Amino acid sequence: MRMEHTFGGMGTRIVLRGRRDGVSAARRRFEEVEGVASRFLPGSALRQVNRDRRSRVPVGGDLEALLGAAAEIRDRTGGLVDPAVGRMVVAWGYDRDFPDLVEPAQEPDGDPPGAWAVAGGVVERRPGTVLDLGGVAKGWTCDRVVESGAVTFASAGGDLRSAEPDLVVEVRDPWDEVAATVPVGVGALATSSIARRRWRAGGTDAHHLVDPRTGRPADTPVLSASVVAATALEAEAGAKAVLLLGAGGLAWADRQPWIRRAIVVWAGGSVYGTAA
Amino acid sequence: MIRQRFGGVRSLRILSWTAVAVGWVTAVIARLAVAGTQAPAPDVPVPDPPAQTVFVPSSGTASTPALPERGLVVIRHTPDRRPDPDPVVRRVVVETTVPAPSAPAQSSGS
Repeated sequence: MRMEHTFGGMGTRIVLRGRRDGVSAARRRFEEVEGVASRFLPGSALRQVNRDRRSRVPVGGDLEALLGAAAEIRDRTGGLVDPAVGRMVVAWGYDRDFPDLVEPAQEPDGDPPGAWAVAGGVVERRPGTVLDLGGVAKGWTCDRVVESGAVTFASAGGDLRSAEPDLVVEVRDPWDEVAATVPVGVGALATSSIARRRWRAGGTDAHHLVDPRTGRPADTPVLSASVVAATALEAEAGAKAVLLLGAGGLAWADRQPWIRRAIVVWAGGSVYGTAA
Repeated sequence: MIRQRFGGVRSLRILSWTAVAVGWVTAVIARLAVAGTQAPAPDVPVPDPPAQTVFVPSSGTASTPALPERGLVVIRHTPDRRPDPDPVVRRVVVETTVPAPSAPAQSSGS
């Protein structure tokens, strides 16, 4: 019997669709990955790496795979989507699950992310670097549970991966209206938005998408960006990059062979897209 | 007869005009040759154009996207700017289990 199951995890809402046993297995997989890659859970492997004072730290299993995926995405987006931006995100106040945020008293200074690499079971970075795998972990896990055949559909926050040929997705704007209806089919779609999850830091509006070029929450006319790609990991990274690039985001997406389509909701409400 | 036609003063005039013409042609050729081998004239400073004020919108205030090479699709045009949406500052996650099928999938961002 096919079913749809919704639950809270990875700081967001996760939706799985498939047979009952597959859905249960997929949920367990999400919980495993969150246990490894959460920046907030005290016992997570990522938190231990972030707290380690050595410059070279052994990693393995899912964390090594996630870091490898994150490194590829970082390179593919020219450094725009970089998990090493985590220290800046923390400095701007996003140091706990969103519902528990506390406003920082003042704006932090901008500081670009340091270089990091993972190879041969070792991650190498400057001690003090905070790697944030939040977005990568959501997309990567959606990909894993669908590619394994456990479920035919997985969605985590704004990221989704589908093995359903007829899947059509309604992209909703920050006013909660349908901005576009997008045929996704077998593939993935992700939406990144700065209109949600906002808070204030030292009197300045802040949001979770920190631009590694400035060390500050992105200054962009794009309220939300959606990208269709083959995998949720690619779609998630593409959406973030389009949002960060602002006015040049759609032109950049149009040049990326791994991005099938990009759609942006502009400040004021207009909606634009690349050619399908 | 020939001596009559080209005698005296007339011969002298022909010779003198011929000499003048040859000299003039030689001078022109020499001037062209010298011009071809001379170093280029030094650059003459061009005065700056009058100052202009160019307004370059920052990324945060651009009114439309830069044009993609394969074209821009306007999915929805909103000539009257909408007020900014209310940000979600707190969210409660509710755990539920419902049977399929369900409403169309949605994506609105994390």
